[in-house]
Amino acid sequence: MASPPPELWDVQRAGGRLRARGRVPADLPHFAGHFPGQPVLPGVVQLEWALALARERLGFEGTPNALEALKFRAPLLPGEEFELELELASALRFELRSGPRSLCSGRVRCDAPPTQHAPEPLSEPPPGDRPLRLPHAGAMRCVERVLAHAGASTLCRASVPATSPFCVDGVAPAWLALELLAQGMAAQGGVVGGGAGRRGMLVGARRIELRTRGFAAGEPLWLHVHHLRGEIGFVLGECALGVGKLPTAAASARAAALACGTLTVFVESAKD
Amino acid sequence: MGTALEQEIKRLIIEALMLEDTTVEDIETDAALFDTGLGLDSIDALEIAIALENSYGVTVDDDPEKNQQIFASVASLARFVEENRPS
Repeated sequence: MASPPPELWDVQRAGGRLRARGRVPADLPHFAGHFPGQPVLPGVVQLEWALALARERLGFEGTPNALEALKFRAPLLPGEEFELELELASALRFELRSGPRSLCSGRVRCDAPPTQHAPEPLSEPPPGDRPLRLPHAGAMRCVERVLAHAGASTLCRASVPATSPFCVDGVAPAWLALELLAQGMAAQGGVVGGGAGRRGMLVGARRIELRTRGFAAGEPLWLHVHHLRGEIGFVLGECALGVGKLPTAAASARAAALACGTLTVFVESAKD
Repeated sequence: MGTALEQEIKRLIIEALMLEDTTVEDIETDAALFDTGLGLDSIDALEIAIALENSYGVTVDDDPEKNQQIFASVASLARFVEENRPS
């Protein structure tokens, strides 16, 4: 199953453009684990809705090879209403608005469709397993453990749970990398921030490259996060996700990655 | 038009933000970059700050009032780079 669609009405289509009004279902399965006691619509679901609607109503085809100029400006809560705008040209552009306010926007590119990667076993984790502090829970939690942390780099082990609401026939689409990479940032924040565990929200990514079509549920993945700047406020990390041999540095992670990009997360200052 | 540095900064903004359908000619040197004008926001400001750091070695501090002046327009960004760039 894929994520349940939003309630939609006033759907208007003209050429390659589509506008609609919608509401975030109050009972999405994602809310239980994203986050417990504090439901927020994951940014990747907004992307998923845009893709599904473009396929259904605009004849959008193809497999994304890049997500560009992604911005998540304000969180969407259960039951919240929004306007959705899609425009299909050389790329699929999407935007969710609330009146004049843009809630999120981005572009999906399909100009060099990736092929499916071959499954590879993950090499044994190096010693020095660290505790994992992550706000994501249940079927929304993809990071399993922190394998190593040195300097500005954190290496995690991850997989898409079989119960993930994003899986279709046991495979999660490659664009779920957006969520996986964001969880890598959160896991790094948990390691660096110690016991406090600050909350963070994904606010953007300039370009995420997708070099595969999807990730099988349970497939062992590595997640490499290299901290670029920021402690509180905007935090930037160079993130990569792959299978097989564990990378030892940001450059090798990027080169071997099935998905990679620089993410910006907004981290609140610790509560007193 | 504007100075060479101003044109360069316009290119840098377009690249940093991956603005599609925007050319150097579309950005006015003295027009407001945020809210009105290009309609940029704080996430964009961060991207621009990083691009300026990488290209010119200038550091933007976390000072909202000062940054509002620096990021007002392409002209003010160029002035900031001019004054702070290591020689």
